[in-house]
Amino acid sequence: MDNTNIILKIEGLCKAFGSNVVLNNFNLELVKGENIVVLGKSGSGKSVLIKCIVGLLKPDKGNIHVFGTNMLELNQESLDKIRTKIGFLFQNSALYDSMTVRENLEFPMRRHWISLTSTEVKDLVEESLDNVGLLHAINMMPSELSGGMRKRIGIARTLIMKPQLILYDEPTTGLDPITSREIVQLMLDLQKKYHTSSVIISHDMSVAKLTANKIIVLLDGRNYAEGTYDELKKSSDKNINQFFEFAS
Amino acid sequence: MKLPKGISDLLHETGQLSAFVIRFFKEGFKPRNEWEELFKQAFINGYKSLPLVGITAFIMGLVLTVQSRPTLAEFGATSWLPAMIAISIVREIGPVITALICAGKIGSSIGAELGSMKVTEQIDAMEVSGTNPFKFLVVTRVLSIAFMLPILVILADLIAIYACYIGVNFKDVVSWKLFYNKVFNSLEYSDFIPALVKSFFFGLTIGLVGCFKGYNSQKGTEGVGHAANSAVVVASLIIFILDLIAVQITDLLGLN
Repeated sequence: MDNTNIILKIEGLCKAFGSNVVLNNFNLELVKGENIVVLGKSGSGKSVLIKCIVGLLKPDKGNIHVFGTNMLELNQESLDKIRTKIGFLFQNSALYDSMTVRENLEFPMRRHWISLTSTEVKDLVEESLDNVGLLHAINMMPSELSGGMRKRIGIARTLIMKPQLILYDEPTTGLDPITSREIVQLMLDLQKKYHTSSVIISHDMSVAKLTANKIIVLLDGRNYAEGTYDELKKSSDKNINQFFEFAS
Repeated sequence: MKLPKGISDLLHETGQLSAFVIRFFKEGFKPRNEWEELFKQAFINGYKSLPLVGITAFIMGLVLTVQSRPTLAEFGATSWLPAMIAISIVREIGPVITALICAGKIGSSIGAELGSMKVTEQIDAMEVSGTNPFKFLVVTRVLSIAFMLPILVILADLIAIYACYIGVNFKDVVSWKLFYNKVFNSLEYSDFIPALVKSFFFGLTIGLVGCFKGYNSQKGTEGVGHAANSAVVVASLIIFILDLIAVQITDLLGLN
């Protein structure tokens, strides 16, 4: 594999909270344009994993290389710089309640792309909202949006900085099946348009089936199994089968 | 030797609060300056607190005048009423009562707002977007209160003194000019300046404690309620301690 194509590389990642070991020698390699779904039960450490990737949590051991840079060796300034190339969609979208949709989207741009004129900022916000089909919600407050709309706005805010890597934390949790399907389709459409790579944390098999180039099953804090959706579906391991049983 | 849990928790929290205060002073001088947010917070914490502070100051001035009058009347010293009320309001009651009201109104609102942002991952969202949430949320709020509280105290003092004028006229007939002369002849800069300086520190306390409690909020919605509540309790307690220290300092400096 060409090393220049590696977007994210995690080696021997360990994280514990007191005596509770959450990640234990976890490894992952994501190449350009690829989608990896990390599958695991609730409380298995999936969210801890992506919070470690983006530097919200500090791992106890291991290495995380994003775009070839070791995230654990960066100072705050460099970390903030590299974070602008990483998009992060939170489970509950984490929109800023006190700001309108427009201000939510403008927030990162006004701080990182300070040379942009007001017209350029306005155009980028409108383009981003148009991508998710919610241009009409531009002046609404987050409290006025439905769960699906919040998720779409969250995706728009994630994409506005044109990230090369997107981390999705349970993108369809709390949504009905139809809206879930729409969100997944949106993720795929936007990936095609912007050529992003993604790590998708989920326990939803329909998300895995539609988006994953590769699935990693996270169990006991380690890579329990890896493969494509079809490969894992054929597995006779009961720990893997249970995901497919409940999906069907 | 193992310390009792209550004491070790108190020491732990004091340590965390101290680290938070040090971080505030470090981050406060770093670019980028969030002027827009600072002015927005000054409007919310200052202007929007004015009605409550004003009404309280008016009642405070009036009640103090009405209740002090009989005692002074016994000594035939009712003419001292304007000066006595003005000095006690400017020196002590104005700053402390205004700070306590603001601790209740602003401190709890900041504790709840930041606590809610913390548990809904909005603060994390700011951080992963490469923005410094401490600078945007904490520094702006703390500075806005620290600068707005002395202004609120001045306005509260003026309103309370005007209420005193009304109170004095309940039983006597005193012209505004005479009342004004009585009040301002008795006041000196050494009454105003220490009061305003301590108001600034009261404001810092309210902001820092409110932000600290909210920023470190945990345990979901229960934690948000706890953050709002403890922001008021801790800030009020620290305000009294600071007031005690301020009295000692002004006494040492010969300003009392």
